[in-house]
Amino acid sequence: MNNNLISRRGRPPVTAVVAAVLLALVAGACGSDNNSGSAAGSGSTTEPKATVDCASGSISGAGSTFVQTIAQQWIKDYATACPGATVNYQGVGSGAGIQQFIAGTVDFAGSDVTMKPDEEAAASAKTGAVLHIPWSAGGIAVEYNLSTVKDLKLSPETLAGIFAGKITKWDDAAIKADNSGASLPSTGIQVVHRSDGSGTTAAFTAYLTAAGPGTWTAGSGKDVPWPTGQGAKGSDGVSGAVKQTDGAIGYSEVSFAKGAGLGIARIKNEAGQFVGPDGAAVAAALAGAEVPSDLKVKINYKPTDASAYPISTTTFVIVPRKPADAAKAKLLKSFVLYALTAGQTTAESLYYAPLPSSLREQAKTAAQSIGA
Amino acid sequence: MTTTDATAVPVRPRRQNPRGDQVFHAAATAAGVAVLLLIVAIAAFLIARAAPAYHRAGWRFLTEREWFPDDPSRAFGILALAFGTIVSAVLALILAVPVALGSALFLTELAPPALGRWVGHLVDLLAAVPSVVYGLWGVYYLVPRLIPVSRFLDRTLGFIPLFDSRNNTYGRSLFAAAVVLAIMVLPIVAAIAREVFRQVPTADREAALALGATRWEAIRLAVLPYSRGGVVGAVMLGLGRALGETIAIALVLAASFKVDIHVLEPGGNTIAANIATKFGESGAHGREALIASGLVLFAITLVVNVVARGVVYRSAIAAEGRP
Amino acid sequence: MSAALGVGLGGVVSASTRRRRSVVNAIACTALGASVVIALIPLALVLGYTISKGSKALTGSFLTHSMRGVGPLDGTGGAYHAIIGTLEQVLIASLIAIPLGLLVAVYIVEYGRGPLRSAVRFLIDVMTGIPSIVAGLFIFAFWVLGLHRGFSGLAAGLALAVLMLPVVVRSAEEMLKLVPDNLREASYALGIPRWRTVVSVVLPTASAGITTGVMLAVARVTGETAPLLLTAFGYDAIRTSPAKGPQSGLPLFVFQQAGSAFDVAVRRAWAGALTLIAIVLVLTVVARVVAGRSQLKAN
Repeated sequence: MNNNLISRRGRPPVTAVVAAVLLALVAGACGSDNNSGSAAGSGSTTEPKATVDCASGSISGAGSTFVQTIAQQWIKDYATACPGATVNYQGVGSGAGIQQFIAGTVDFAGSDVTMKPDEEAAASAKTGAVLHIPWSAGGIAVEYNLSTVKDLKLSPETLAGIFAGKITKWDDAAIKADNSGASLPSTGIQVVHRSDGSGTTAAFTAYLTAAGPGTWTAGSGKDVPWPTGQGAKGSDGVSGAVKQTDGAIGYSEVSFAKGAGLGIARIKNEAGQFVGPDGAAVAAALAGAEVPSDLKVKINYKPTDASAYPISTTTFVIVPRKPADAAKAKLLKSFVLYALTAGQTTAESLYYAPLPSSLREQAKTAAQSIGA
Repeated sequence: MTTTDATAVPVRPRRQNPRGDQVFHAAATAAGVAVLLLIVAIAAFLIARAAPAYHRAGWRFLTEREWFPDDPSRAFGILALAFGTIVSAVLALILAVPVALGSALFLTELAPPALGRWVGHLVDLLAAVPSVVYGLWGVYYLVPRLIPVSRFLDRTLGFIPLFDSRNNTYGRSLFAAAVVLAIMVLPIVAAIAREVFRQVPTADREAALALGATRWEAIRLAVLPYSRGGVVGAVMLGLGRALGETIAIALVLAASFKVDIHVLEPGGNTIAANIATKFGESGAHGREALIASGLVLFAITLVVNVVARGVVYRSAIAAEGRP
Repeated sequence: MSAALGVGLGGVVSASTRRRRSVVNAIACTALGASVVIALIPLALVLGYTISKGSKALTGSFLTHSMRGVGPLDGTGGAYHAIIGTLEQVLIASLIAIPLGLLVAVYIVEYGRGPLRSAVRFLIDVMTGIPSIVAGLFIFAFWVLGLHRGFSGLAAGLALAVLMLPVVVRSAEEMLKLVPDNLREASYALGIPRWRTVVSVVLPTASAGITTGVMLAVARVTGETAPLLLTAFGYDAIRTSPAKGPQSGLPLFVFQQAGSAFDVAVRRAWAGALTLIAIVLVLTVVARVVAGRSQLKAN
């Protein structure tokens, strides 16, 4: 024990000093916001500037993680075309995005599902009438890990049976029937699903409910009582778990299945064709959706088009009909219109799908009315 | 031996410095009151936000396992979450505390002082790793490597339900989560314990050694009794971390809503991890229910701390009662 | 054990007793040594994994560029904005939580009595159990919404302070309690007033332990992700003023980049994780050196 500590003076607040020094060091290192010098990205399609009706200022939005990747691309391309504008989008989840939109902390929300009546009432009370504008679309890939099967084909009933826990082996007769000639192993099927609430889950389970009646009984929603399988957080978590587990099957946005290098099953549509989730197939499926005048698209999970991929969904941007701030209204309108026009061409390179043209025209009309 | 209870200062300063003392006393008291108000504010806010959820669920909140607060046709309750929280935290402490205390004792009592300090700082580094990194490392590195360990435990100790995996699947289980938690808790317990052991008066230790005690006996007779209160405090801080850890557990656990002692099987969930995974897509009702579950976590921490304080208090009395 | 010692002290030491005691001693010391090794294994594994994953993308450009205007498939961009954000947020949290926490600990150990002291102590214990996201939620409701301040690095600093406070108080409390009373008494005997005794004797004696506790608290909040989502919110560009609007933070950056489908982003996540660990490491080492030097000076 020290005996001569009495002479000691109080020492300086160590952490504060350290942090201040570090801050000075880093701040002095001259960080840069300029990332345009070395655009090595392959997904960036340079748009002719003429098509963009630029606005300036700053808006921020939050919500759907589904749309985050393409939103990031739009933000980059829009900022290149319109240097005076800053758009900030954070993928915090559709539910949280809607809550923040209601609270007024963001200018727009991204959501995979439409607002519930009470949410819409709360938002209208805050910002006036709100618009749901579909602005992107994508297929939900059924991804699997089977070294012996390169091209898995599944009918809706079989898929529902697997996720309902009624089909438990890969060499089940139902899977064999869908894949004549394939060498299916006798390993057990490990189902992987989302553990977090998710718009992807909502679309996937809505499809199972529509396509596998009697087999899939757990209902549909952002989160359901899964009859079987393991949960994983986020699409990256699901894809990672499928990749780690031999005999696993899961669902995610196409980009995650591709990113993890997983096999993607082809799903049988109403016309009896086995189709994969590429952009054209998704657009074909969504062309069969019912579009009411408020644009709250009702997906038809049994599209009749022979080229349609049935597990397809749209995602919405939710904006005030008349934003209080005129400058923000202008930027919001400009950005959403950009996403609906030039922005659609980047969709396929990022494994999204362009909106079918009729839906896109309706969405554009709605976007034109922002602030008008 | 000096008691650890420093609150009852036996000798008053001879010459008072009324003004300086008053100011300092007032500042300290004000800080105490400020913290009191802060916590009351947090609690009031949480209770106000959680009340509608309790009202909706009623007593079923305590007995229900599933979690569908946004769906009026389904129920939600804390049972499975609280179970997973407690089981994973207790398992983590069982794994971490012996290692933490053992390493702290070695570094303060047996190792050369300079070596002890530097290795101690190395162990502290474990606390520098952010929980999201533990989560990612846990999922992609640790979990696959724990599968053989789990299989071994199942084969050798499978007759005990705790170590049994009924369908021979392993992986993202409460056991794996507990291992990750143990690694996260370890530096906290070890660091505080090291400082606690270091505060043991050298005279006590040397007296034991001078009387012919071995190093281990000196530790048992001089070091451990003196530091019991501090060690319990260190463990409590570790437990607080284990109970409240969010992102790492959310990434590692294959969330399920079962109350199941088969900890090697994939599944399980904790209150904090459930808040993190469900928050993003929750509606208004869902958020209230999640906050209500956060309050239950408070209650758990509270009970555990009260018990721990009781243990320290009683052991202090027992220690003083001895000649 | 005390019986064995008693026998030993009595001088009636049989050879077998002595042998047994030395065997027990050897086993115990080996076990303690082994626990150090066990504690260091996960460190080596986690650091090794993070370094192997993170070092590829950890370039000068990564450390000096933000994510502004970086497309989802671009390998460019970096964490500069997030580093700035994290340093500012942790600094704000430290400036609030460390002085307040030390004062509270001094109150509990040196001054407090009666029900108020019990209440403060009890509630601090409860506070250690606040899940990080709930702290974020509180600041979100109170500061971001209630006071209409909006998302900011400052809000994140406040949320982190809420998380830091109980760790600072609890560890400082344990350390202050361990300062022997005879030190205090010696100081009083010299006529030094109580507050001077606390500032000049009690706190410095406990300073090494308090520094450890504070560094643990800093390390813990530096890595927190969940509260940042609700307070700092995230921002792709550099924002040096923490009060001006949404800001990023390194853990948030890591979390968001790791959740991407594309490899370029996942690589940025690991580089960010490595940066974060390095920052906490530097903070820890510098704090130790400063604390060590001030202790040396005192001696």
